[in-house]
Amino acid sequence: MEPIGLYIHIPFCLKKCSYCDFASVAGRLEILPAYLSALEVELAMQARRWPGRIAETIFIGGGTPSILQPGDYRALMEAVRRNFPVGDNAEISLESNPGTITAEKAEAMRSAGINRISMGVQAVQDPLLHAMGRIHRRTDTEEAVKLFHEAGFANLNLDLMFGLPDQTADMWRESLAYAMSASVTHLSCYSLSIEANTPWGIRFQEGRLSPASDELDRLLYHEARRMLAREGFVHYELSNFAKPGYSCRHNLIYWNRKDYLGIGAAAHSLMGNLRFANTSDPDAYIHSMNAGMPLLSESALLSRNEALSERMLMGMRLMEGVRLDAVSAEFGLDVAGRFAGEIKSLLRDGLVFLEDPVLRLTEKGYDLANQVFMAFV
Amino acid sequence: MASARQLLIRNFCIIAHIDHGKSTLADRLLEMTGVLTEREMEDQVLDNMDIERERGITIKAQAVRMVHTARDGKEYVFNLIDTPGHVDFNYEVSRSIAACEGAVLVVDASQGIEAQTLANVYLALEHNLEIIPVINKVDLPSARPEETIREIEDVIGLVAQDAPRISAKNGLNIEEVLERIVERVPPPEGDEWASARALIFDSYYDSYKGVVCYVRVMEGSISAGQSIRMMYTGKEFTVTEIGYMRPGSLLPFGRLLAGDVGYICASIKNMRDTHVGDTITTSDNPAKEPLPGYKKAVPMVFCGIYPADGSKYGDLRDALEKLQLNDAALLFEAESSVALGFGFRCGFLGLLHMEIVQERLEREYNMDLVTTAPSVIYKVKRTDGTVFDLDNPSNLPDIAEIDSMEEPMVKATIMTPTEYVGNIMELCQDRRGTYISMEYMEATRVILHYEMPLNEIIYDFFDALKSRTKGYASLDYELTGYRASKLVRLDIKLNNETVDALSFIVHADKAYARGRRMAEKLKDTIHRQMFEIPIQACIGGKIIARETVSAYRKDVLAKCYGGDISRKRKLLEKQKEGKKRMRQVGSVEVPQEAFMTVLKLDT
Repeated sequence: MEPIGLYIHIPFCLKKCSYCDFASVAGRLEILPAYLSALEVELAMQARRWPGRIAETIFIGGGTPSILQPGDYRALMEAVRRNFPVGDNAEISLESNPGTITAEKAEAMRSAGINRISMGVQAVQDPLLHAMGRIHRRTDTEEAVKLFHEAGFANLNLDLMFGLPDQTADMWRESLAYAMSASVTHLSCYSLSIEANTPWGIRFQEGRLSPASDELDRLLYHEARRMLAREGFVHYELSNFAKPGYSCRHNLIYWNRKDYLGIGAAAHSLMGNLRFANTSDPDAYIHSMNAGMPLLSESALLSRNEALSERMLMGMRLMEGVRLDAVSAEFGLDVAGRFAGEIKSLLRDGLVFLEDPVLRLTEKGYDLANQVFMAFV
Repeated sequence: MASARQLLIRNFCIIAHIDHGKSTLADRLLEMTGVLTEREMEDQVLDNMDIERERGITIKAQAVRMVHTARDGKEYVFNLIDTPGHVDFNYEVSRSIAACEGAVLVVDASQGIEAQTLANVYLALEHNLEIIPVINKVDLPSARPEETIREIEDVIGLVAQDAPRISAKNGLNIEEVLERIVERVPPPEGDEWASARALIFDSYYDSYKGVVCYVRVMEGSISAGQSIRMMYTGKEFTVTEIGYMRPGSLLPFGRLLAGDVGYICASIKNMRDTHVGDTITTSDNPAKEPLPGYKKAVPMVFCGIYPADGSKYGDLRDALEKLQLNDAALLFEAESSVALGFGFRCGFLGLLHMEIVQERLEREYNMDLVTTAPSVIYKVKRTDGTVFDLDNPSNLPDIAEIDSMEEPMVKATIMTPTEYVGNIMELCQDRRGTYISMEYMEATRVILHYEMPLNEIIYDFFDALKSRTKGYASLDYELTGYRASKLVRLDIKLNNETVDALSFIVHADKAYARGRRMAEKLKDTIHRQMFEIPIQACIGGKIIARETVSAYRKDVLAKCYGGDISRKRKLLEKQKEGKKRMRQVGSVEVPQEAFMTVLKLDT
């Protein structure tokens, strides 16, 4: 049976950031114990529905999973192991935010079996962090990195953002340089995306917020690509860079469109062509799990065309590209033939290379990837 | 002298500005006369079309017969003929008015008289109609009935002191209006034994009955089974059905006599055989002369209408043909454009008529349209001495072949509160208007008269007028003739290719400013693409303005993980759908609204 990636969502934060539109609530920590019990209920329920599926990767994301108490990590991981077989070499990641880490917590995470940390650093300039509504400052980041290293975490990712309002190219270089000095194995570099219904989205609509121009944004992106390449990082997905052997196996499941099961409020799953997601309201989630009846915000059986679209647009995010022969075999049709017209015009526009049987983005394609994805929807 | 039968008939129309309460008053009259029960009353019975109801205006004239028992104890037949409320339909208004002996003038007590109302009142006075002023909306806090009455007296010269003060909405004093109609509107006259002469004031197409003509019989009589003749078109038909109009239905009655208002069906298949304003007579005893005042409707404004999806060309033609069944003033003929493919050049009475046709095509026929900027008809004299009418800028010959050009002129009447006079004069000046005169209606309101090129009005004059007067000014215009003018065609090049559908004709002195503005506006409308796109405005190959849409630099979703896929896929599908709606002009994707840019140069 095909292994799965297991995702567990912790939708709680101390404070909502100015740009964030993820499924998370600020405060509400009083319902955490009830929420953690609900996760255990769901783990048991899903294990019954999908028996024998081995979790090769586990990703505890948020929100801010690092606001849990030290004892919670062991309890949560024990609940996982009670219900699902976990692979011997499983990658077990946890998202954390600087400002919520103590030595005791870092050690508790490590001893619970977590072997990879992904930390939301975003920038190393305090004024930028303040403007973003982050709760941490540069010293908190430095402290957290030190604690994780001391606790024995060798596989460490940092999230950084570029294209922020008032962020100069020098600031961006400084953030990247810091990440290199922190001896990390993985870096995610995200271009700021302004979302409606966030404090920044509202200010942007009112014309009171100016993010970087597209020109600057791309300058910063390609600067990061060059700098990280010099440092021995492999650019393997549009926004992701890793030391050889340290690509995020869990996220590769998404990009390669393999099966994954999401546990918790707002968690999404793809099992075969069945796509479903839990309600994003934590209270509703707790309530429904206690009643033994999942409340879904989405559930659909994808058609072959939809599945193929997803397979292509997720796969094309990877720098190694998509093997058209493999996808053809997977879907039982001739992908190159089916998208012949689209591929031809993408080639003409210089957005992709076709090195039979591999189709992959060009550098221009990195900047205009949506034009490529659009060809396949 | 009216016969005893005619003494009990009153034929009248209601004249009112948009929103001043014409339809509401008509509803109340119908309620009061008991033609309908309250349950049957759909609000605003007279306006049938959705668009009419939404815009609160009447496009097609309608008519209805009702029976009212007056205070004198006698039963009177009231024929209410509704009039279109817009300058584009001036001719239809004049025919409706010609079918009446009286007019109820409804004026909003807080708004006062507006330009279009005044135009229709003058039309009614020309036809010797008895005018009954009525002050509406007196129950509103902003009502100023005394000032409104004074305005009616000063501007129109009518005695209005005893005008009923009503609230059509709340049914206040409606009875007074009914009595006033009985007392003041003269009964119809006309010899019932003379040769028949009936005025067609409206018609519509019914798929079972054929064309239904609304008529006012002026003299003689017409019966079912009789052979009739249209005096202008000369076509003859046999009357299959004749009778009276009830709200929402027809009531067959066998015969119409002089003084009556009613309908005639005669298995007429083509609207073009029944022109509004034509006279119907009987074939066996034809009248010598038709009724006066007939005019053929002449389209003044033209534009290209294209299906957004080129494969829907046939559907668009079907839809236009169906619309034309009910709208004889609509003209269309096939044309093609390099940028837009196959479509139609359509002619309209005016801008509102154009908008209405576009809306009906979109709503009633589900057409997705691309329309080009409107144009008027220019008279072009070639160097070889031949003259032709130009309704599509693309057909303008090379400058070297043109001897001279003439453009249509209108007399514009603008009514406005005095505080905006400066703004309006500036606007009219800017639009090449020539000041004629200004009259005070009262201390705070004036009428401005300008002579202006129609070409300056059809683009965005209404919008500009509204925005400069906070919506208080009203406009009326009538065609006065043609005048020689220094005109040029402004062409737009996208990525070095001329886009024919974006060309427009403009006065030479305005060309630079308009060209610059057009290029700027297009820059905002055309999105970034894979390559840099130069936008150039040119006259006869000479570039007068240039803007550049720079190439796409970034279009990428930075994050896409397990929870994002379905949302992002839908987002991409939407983006792709939007791309499909663009017109591919050469290598450039042009959004549909770009073809209307010339209408928005003022903002």
